[in-house]
Amino acid sequence: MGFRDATPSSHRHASDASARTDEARYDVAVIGGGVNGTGTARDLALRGRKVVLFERNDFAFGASGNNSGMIHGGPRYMLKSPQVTEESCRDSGFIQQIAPFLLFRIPFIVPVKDGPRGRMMLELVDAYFKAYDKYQPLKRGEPHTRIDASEMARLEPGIVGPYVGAITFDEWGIDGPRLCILNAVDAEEHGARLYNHTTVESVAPGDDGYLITARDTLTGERVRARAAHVVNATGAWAPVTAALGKLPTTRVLVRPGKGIHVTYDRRVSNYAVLAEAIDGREIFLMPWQNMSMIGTTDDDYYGDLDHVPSTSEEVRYLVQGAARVFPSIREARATGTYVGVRPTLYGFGVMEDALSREHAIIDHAADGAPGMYSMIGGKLASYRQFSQEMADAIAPSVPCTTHEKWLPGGDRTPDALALAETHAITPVAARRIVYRHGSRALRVLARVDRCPREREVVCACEPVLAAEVLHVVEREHARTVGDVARRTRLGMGSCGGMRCAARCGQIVADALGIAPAAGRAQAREFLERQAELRVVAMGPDQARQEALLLAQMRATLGEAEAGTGVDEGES
Amino acid sequence: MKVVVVGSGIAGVSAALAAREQGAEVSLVRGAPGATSLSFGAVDAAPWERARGNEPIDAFCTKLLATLGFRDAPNALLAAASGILRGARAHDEALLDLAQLPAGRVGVVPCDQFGWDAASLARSWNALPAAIARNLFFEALPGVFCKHTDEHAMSLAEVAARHDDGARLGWFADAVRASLARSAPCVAVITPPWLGAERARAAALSERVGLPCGEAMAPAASPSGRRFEAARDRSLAAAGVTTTAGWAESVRVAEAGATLSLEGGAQIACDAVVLAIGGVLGGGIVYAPAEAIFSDAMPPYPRHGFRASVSAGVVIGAEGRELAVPGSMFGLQAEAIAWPFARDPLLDRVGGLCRDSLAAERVYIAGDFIADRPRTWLAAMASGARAGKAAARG
Ligand SMILES: Cc1cc2nc3c(=O)[nH]c(=O)nc-3n(C[C@H](O)[C@H](O)[C@H](O)COP(=O)(O)OP(=O)(O)OC[C@H]3O[C@@H](n4cnc5c(N)ncnc54)[C@H](O)[C@@H]3O)c2cc1C
Ligand SMILES: Cc1cc2nc3c(=O)[nH]c(=O)nc-3n(C[C@H](O)[C@H](O)[C@H](O)COP(=O)(O)OP(=O)(O)OC[C@H]3O[C@@H](n4cnc5c(N)ncnc54)[C@H](O)[C@@H]3O)c2cc1C
Repeated sequence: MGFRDATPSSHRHASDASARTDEARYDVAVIGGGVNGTGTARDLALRGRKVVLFERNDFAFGASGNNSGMIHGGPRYMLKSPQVTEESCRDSGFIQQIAPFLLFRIPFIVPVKDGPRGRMMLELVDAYFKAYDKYQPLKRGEPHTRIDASEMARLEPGIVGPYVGAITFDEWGIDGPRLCILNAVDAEEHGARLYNHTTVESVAPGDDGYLITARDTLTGERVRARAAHVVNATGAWAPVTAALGKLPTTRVLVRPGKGIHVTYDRRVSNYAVLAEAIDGREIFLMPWQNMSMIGTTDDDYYGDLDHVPSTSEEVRYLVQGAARVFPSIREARATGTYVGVRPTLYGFGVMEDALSREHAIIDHAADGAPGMYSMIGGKLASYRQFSQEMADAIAPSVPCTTHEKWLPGGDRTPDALALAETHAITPVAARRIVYRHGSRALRVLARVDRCPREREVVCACEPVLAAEVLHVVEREHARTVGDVARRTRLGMGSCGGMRCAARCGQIVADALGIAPAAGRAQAREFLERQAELRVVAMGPDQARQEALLLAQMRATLGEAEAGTGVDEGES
Repeated sequence: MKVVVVGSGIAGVSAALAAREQGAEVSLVRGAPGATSLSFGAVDAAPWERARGNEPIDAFCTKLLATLGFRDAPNALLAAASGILRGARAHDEALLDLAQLPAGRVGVVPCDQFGWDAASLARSWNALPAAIARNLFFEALPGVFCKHTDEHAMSLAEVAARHDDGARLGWFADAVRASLARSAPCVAVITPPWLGAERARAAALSERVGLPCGEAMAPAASPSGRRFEAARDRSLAAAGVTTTAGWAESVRVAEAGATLSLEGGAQIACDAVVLAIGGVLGGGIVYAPAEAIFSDAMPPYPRHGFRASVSAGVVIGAEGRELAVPGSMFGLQAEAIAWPFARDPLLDRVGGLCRDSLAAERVYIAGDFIADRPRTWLAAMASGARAGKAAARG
């Protein structure tokens, strides 16, 4: 019938895997879109270099999006290598200057056990943090304080046990995925080309430089690009990546240290509380954005880095440890876990000095591959410094400006309440948008002025408006429901995406012009991955939520994979 | 004969009315809203992708469906706001059954609200084989259908309640008619799930518009559960079932009869009890892993973690067997019992074991509370009827 002809058929298929050559010649190809890859791309782009960045999954998919979310000054290193602490604190100060909206203060409390040596321990801890106070001004931190047991009980009533007192000190929290995205976007705005969901498959020497072959994992399309320099910033994947460039994997040894965090439905404490796990390791229970979390574990991991599991044993280890200081955590509702793999610098064959600095650049000229480098190790807190060192090696003639140029949105932080009023959205939504986008919140909200229906609340837990979903699809390279979640925290709340994943899939499919069934498949995939990470922490209330989510999935998305259900699939 | 039914989901209602039909004196203990109140108006025998859609329904259940405002509609085809079209065996009268329509255009009512994007939904539905095979073509209707601006921020159920008002429904019908006059000819109109909170208003709307009108299913805040609750309360009252709000704790059985104890101390004496308390979702099965209860590093004894919300001597199991004591002090491994690690997860199958519906002396069980029974309306309704009848006969 005639009216059918009106349906557009702008489907993209994974089968038309045409090879595409990116004609431009790049100065630098960066492989890996974690904080170090995006940070290096930004630094080099600001220095006027022509950069291309390939990310196999999505920006911040790896360690950079799954860490403890702290820009800490590294008090741990103070005894062994005070210069690390000083550097970390200074760089933390720089990050605050370039993205003030993205940081939030996290006060820590260190309870000290009573006992024969309790008083002495308190003195020692006090002295230790007195020394750390020296570095606090570098990152606008407050000096530490020492409190007695009764003060502690007042400040943090959840801490139960025989304590002589406690020390408080100050750190900064940050949203790791946002930090990566902002670096990537700024690189792009300074001329870099970004490819996410595009995995590098080979790096081969060519005439004056290297030929990089990559594949878009969503469309199957191949991309080829030429670059004079190649930076391997693939974190825990780095040895794999080195092999793709025919380099010996032994040259880029990382110790893959898997760490999980358990997340809760709300903030259960005022302070971040340090605790000791059963094996004596230090863990913490920390309020972070609008939730609390316990972190973290550290276990060698040699499995698939693209699909890292967390297990109920790991959850038990953390909850048990935290409960020794904060017993009521057992009654709180755990809403999930997340997991990352640290690209820890390997002990053998690396210079002592490099080891103590936690990160190293390997120049592969020694392996017969001049112009190729691997970045190994590092921290969120020192990514800017590490990226600067990398860029200095490639473009020594141009000075670094990443410590003085704002990240996108950093120029000023708008008043959320005023924005809520002028754009007729809830103050909570406005605050969250300002937190994530800084002054660019104005760009997100300009959308609702143009198109009022973008005021629609897609994710009620966070909350996230349709305007922000569209903004991150159009401006921040989000290509899947999972990508939107990484950028906005959509679907990360206590409903586990039950209320928003399907709708988000529709918006993404519409915005990118892909098939509606592909949007639903993305929603299902997101719900499934979240459930994998969530059920390992399942308690009584969450069990009911799991049953509800499953019933709803069944009733309105179908259990089947895309295309196999009775009425599912595309024409 | 005196029968007490615990649980006011579809299984409990079915059991209460079936027991009444047998002449028993029936009282029903109403807990909190369960699975039935959260469902979206589709009625199946098995999860819809595994169901045939034309399974037989006995006379009692057919009548009960009608009483509750549901349509017996073999091979019905329903639209969902998640963007799919799906089969069903029967449905809430408010939903539009696409299987009844001739080929042609279906107007989709737009609203600037809670996840309902008419153009996007039309695009989604149009791409599905079920729409193509029937030559149905969905298109957003022009116009504005929210009467007040504050409705943009309201839940579907709240807007649905506004359509309970006849004048408001009239305004809506006029808006639909005006819109239809401006668009190409349609064979039906599909609306957001907001046609009444007390009763389905689809028939009244269809009459005023002159075309079949009905809702699409919407996850999360659908008014269908609210409509079920209203119809349930009406039919229980009409049948002479007394209802008590409360939370049942235990059933004690003596030679002369049974005593049900409620939280707070109240007791109800009776000859038989029907537990229609739902599964994990409804609250009839409680999941309480050892580590959530004990703050000691080591719990005092191993336990699998599942128990009934009412202690009545019902054996908890799955696949016809009692759940075994696990090998770990901390209980069952979450990875092994939940989706997506398991396709038919224990979490969704665990329940009381029974023969016919008898689970312990004088204790009958029904609905999602029964182990391994498909978690669907029809299964709950049929097992409820069986349990009510058996309990009344003693
Ligand atoms: C549990 C945990 C807690 C932590 N806590 C903190 C903290 O609180 N503070 C702090 O400062 N640091 C913390 N860290 C450390 C910090 O997160 C990492 O050191 C940092 O994120 C490493 O960044 P990266 O860019 O090197 O690696 P990653 O972020 O892992 O990025 C590597 C990227 O490379 C991509 N990739 C891999 N192969 C290819 C390929 N062939 N082609 C294209 N792309 C590819 C991957 O998809 C990945 O996105 C923590 C780490 C973990 C795991
Ligand atoms: C989101 C969702 C979508 C669904 N979609 C479909 C579908 O498309 N098709 C289909 O056929 N089915 C569907 N279902 C399944 C269907 O709704 C259920 O299988 C059915 O409603 C179960 O009814 P029930 O009476 O056994 O349990 P419930 O409705 O859960 O009722 C149990 C009741 O017992 C009460 N209770 C528990 N313990 C106690 C106690 N100790 N004292 C007092 N009261 C107590 C609870 O509060 C609850 O009200 C869906 C369910 C959900 C949640």
